[in-house]
Order: sequence, then structure tokens, then C-alpha cells
Amino acid sequence: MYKREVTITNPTGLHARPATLLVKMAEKYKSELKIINGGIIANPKSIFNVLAAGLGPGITITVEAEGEDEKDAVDGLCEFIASLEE
Amino acid sequence: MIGKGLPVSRGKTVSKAMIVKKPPQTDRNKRLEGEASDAIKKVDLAMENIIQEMQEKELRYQNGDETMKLEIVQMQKTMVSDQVFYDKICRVIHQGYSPEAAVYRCVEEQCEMLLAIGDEYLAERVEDFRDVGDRLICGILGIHYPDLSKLSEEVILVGENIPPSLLADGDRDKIKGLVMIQGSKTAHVCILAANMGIPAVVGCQEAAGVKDGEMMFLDAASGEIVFQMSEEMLIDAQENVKEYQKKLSALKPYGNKKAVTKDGTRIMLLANIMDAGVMDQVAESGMDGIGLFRTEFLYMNRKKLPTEMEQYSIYKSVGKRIYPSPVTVRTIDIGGDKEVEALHLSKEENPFLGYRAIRICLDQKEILEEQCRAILRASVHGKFQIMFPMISSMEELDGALAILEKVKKEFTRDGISYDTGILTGMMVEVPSVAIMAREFIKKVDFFSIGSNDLTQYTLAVDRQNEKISHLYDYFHPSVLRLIAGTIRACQEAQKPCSLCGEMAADDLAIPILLGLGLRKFSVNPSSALMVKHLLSMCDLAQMEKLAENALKADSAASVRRMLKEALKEHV
Repeated sequence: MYKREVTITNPTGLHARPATLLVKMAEKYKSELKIINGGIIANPKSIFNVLAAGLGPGITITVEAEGEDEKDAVDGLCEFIASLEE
Repeated sequence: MIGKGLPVSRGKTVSKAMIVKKPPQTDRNKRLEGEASDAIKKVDLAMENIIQEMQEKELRYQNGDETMKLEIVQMQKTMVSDQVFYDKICRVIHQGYSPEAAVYRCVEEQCEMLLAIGDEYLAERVEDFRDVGDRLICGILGIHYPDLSKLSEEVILVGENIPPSLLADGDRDKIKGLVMIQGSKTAHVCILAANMGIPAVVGCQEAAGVKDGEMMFLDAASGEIVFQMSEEMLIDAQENVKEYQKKLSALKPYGNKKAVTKDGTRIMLLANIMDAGVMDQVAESGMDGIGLFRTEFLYMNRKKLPTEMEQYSIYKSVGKRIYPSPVTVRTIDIGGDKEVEALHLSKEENPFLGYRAIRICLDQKEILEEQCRAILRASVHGKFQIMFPMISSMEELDGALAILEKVKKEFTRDGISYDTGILTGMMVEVPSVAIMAREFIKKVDFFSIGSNDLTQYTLAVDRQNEKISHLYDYFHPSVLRLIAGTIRACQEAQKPCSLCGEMAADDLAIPILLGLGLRKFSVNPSSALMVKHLLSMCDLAQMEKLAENALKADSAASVRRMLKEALKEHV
């Protein structure tokens, strides 16, 4: 198991388009993935999960992965989230 | 099998039938019949198909540079292929619900969740997701989901009642015909079909027996359809279509000729259009301008009203294309059977007598102001005329003119250039106005008679109601007298009068209209050549006599009889 924290900095948060892109990216990894926002645990491979998790700007989340490509997955998603601009 | 209906847009074709069904209302409590695993297989298959469709769309939008549509379809695809969504559907099926009920429930659940987030963008996507849900359900039930924007082969659409919005979005190259079990001659889907040049027959009961995917023959000249054809019948039908096309090409020379009567009187032949899509045909048919630009179609099938600049660019492109010929832009004629989602109009008991067209515009003035601004802005790029629909009282006309004046003043104040000589006219389609034509013509530069509405209002016949469609007849002497009076009022005031209803392209009506003094006919571009041909066979002096007699008749039937008799030797 591998995990990392990341803060959402883009003004709209993980909504709509950024969320779609995140899901697209998460689907590429084989590992079991989790995004943890306080008490809410979302599966980043599900658009509905991501949208419902309330991942607005300024929130710090934990990205967690378990599986063969766990490190790549966590780093990849964290970098993607940190690089969001719109 | 042979069926008969009302021909509403000429033409003949042999093509594959495509049954268009509205997605049925799903019963959310429908229980599972059979094995859960079979039901899930159905869902899998429907999903596979829909995802493949979406991938094709994605590719098309990528190539077509349609970012907005691309983003939507990508989002839809992500949603429909969502693991959580899928797991839920399976769970609900295992709880004992039918696959369609399960999809319905899960879509609703996710939609509620999306709406609860309170994000405007996501709220709009809810509709897109519902659309995906409907498609899935149709897939499960083995029904074609009505999406006509991309078709893989040429088809004749067959349906109970095909909504205009569906056709408006349709693939013009692939839709070869339209057959409706319900519907009447002047339903808007018919106007649309005629405008798109699609042969159409409506009110054809027998069409209920047509099978999806079978070859059928549509003869929208006589109103006949033939289906479940034998090999021989198919060959005959194809011959028939070829013959017809030969005849059509015989009319081609009229494309280069002006419209004149047998005695050499020049007639203005104008086009009814609803977007810039038919401008090629207008040019090829050698028409004298646009007599009716139905702008309401710019407002339909969308969530927000079109902006001033959006409208401006469309008007401008039409105006430029046809210059120096004129473009008559009719301000939106919504309500009635034309729904505009973006306006959130409530359903009415009597929509044709209700909150409609200019009545909406005088209540929500900003809509008309925005449209006037767009037309005026475009007016420097062509020869534009502006026309108000559905006027029934002087106050309404004054109100509409005042709005136009206000916009003109603002343009002058802000230094925006516009054609200060732009002509302003109105539709004559309510009997009150036709009766008082003399008074109304004083305040405008021209009239255009809307014979469809004028007929329905004069005869108190709802043009949508099949049960009474036999009563809808513009040869009723009362309608003819109103038209005659309207034309006369224009002649006295030396102002032009045109007519833009179905009548203007009807081979029996053209002679009478000529005889009543009409010199401007506005028709669908697809009818132009045929109308020129008919006009060329009419002798004015004879037509005047004919019209005079028709006005004295006591019924529509006797007018028709008289016409058929008299025209035997002419047309």
C-alpha cells in the first residue's frame, strides 16, 4: 500500500471536466485506488464517486493505492491534481 | 401492403424503413422476469453498443472541431461506463427489478446526487445523463433510440408522431422520407420536412404495419406508401422513382428562368427558409429572395436563448448570400406547437389561442429587443426586411413597432450602423387583421399572408387535430374572401403583399391567388421549380375570372369542383 497527500488548488476543484479527466487517468492503473477526504472515501475510477466526494478547491486529500502499480498510480494522480489550473 | 395518407412534402423514394419510437415511459417498479444473469447480459450488450456509438461520436467531433459537443459526449461516456453505476444496476437487478427499471432507478439516483452538488454545469449534465439512461433503456428493450443526427444508411423515418426537434437535428443527407401515423398537413414537423426537401406523408394509419429495416416505397406525390414488397414490386417502385426523377430534371431549366405567367406578367417567387442550410437550393432554383425566414428554429433544441451576436452571424450570412435580393426575417413565432425549452413555457389548454409569438415577445420584451438588435446589426450586410407574426390587434402592432424604434434609437445613440431604410411588415394570419387590413397597412410597409393560421383561425379548426382535418380547407370562400380583401388593401395602399403558407405551392390554389391579384409567392425552395412551371401555364385574365367566381361560391367543395373543371385544359 502506498499513499500521498495533495492539495486541490485549481479554482473549480475536482468538478465536471477535471473530474472526467481524473477518472480517465485513474482507469489506466490496475491498482485498487482511493481518494480520502476526511470521512469520505471515493473511488477515483468512478465519476459519480469523485463528483459526490465534494472535492472543492483548497481541500487536502489523501490518494491511496494498493496493487502492482500503486506508486505510479498515486504519484500520477497527485501530480495531475496539483497541476490543474482551470 | 399499401397505405394512404396526406402528402405534405413532395417527392418519391425507395429506402429502408426506420421506425422511430419515443422512448416509452419506464415503470420503475417493473419486476424481473427470468434470470438475473440474462438481464445483466442485456444491460452489458446495451452498454457496449452505446459506448461504441459514443466513441464514434467522439471521433466525429474531434475531426469536426466541435469542442462543446466533444466535452459532453466524453462526460457521457465516462458516466455510462462508470463501475459504481454498473455495480448498482446489477445489485438492483438482483433485488428483483427488470433491467430497464434497474437502469431507470440508478440513473435517477445519480441524477439526484449530481443535482444536490448545486453546480450549474453539473446540473446541465444531468439532462445529458438522463439522455444516456433513455438510450440504455431503449437498447435493453430493443427499440431504436431516436437519434437522427448520424445515420449510417439512407432511411425513411416511420413513426406515430415524430417531434420536430428530432427532425431538426437530423442528418439531411440520409433521411430520404418521413411517414407519420398521426399528424396533419400543417403540423410543424411537416413544414420542417418540406423545408428540408424530405418527401413526407402524414396521417397514414397503415404505416403502423411497417417493419423496421424493410424496404418501402414512399410516394409523397399521391400520398401512398407501399411496404412488405415482393421483389417485383420493389423493382416497379424503383422504376417509378426513376421516372419521377426524370420529370424533376425536366423542370431544371426553370432554375435559370424568372417566374412569369403565360401572358408574361412577372411574379416574385420567394423562399421560405429556417436556416442557412438551404441557401444553395434557393440559388439553384433562381428565386427572388427570402420571403419568410422562420427564426424560431434558432431558438429550439437548446437550453439558452441564442445571443444577439449568434443570431447576427446567421442573419448576416443569409443576407450576404442572397444580396441584392431581400431577406424577410420574421421575428420568433413560438408557442402553439413549437416548444422552446429555453423559455420554460407552461402547457396550455389552447396553445394556438394562447401565449404565442408576438404575445410572448410583448410580455418578455427583452427577447424581441435582442432579436431586433441582431437583425438591425445584420441589416448593413444585405437587404433586410423585418416582419412581426401573429398580430391580432393594433396595440400589438404598435407595441412591436415601438420596440423596434427603441432599438433603432439605441443604435443611433451608440453609433452602431444599420440600414435606416429597413422595411417593416407584418403577417396577416388572424381574421381580425385581415378584416381590418386597410387600417393595418397604414402602419407597415408590407403584408405577408400566413394562410395556414388564417385558415385555422377563420374556420375554427385546430390544424393538429386529425379528427377534424377534413374541415381545414383554405378553399373555403370565407378564407378566400379574407385573402382577397387583404390583397386589395395592399393594392390600394400601393404596398406589396405576399403569401407564405402551404397554399402558395398548391397547384389548385396558385391560379386563384394569381386571379386575386397576388404577385408575390413565398414557397419552400424544393417547390420553386414546380411553381414556376405552373405559373407559366396560367393566363392572368382567365385566372381573374376564375377567382371572381370562386369568391361567390358557397362552399369549399364547390370552389374545388369549379377549379378542377376550369383548370382541366390549362394545368
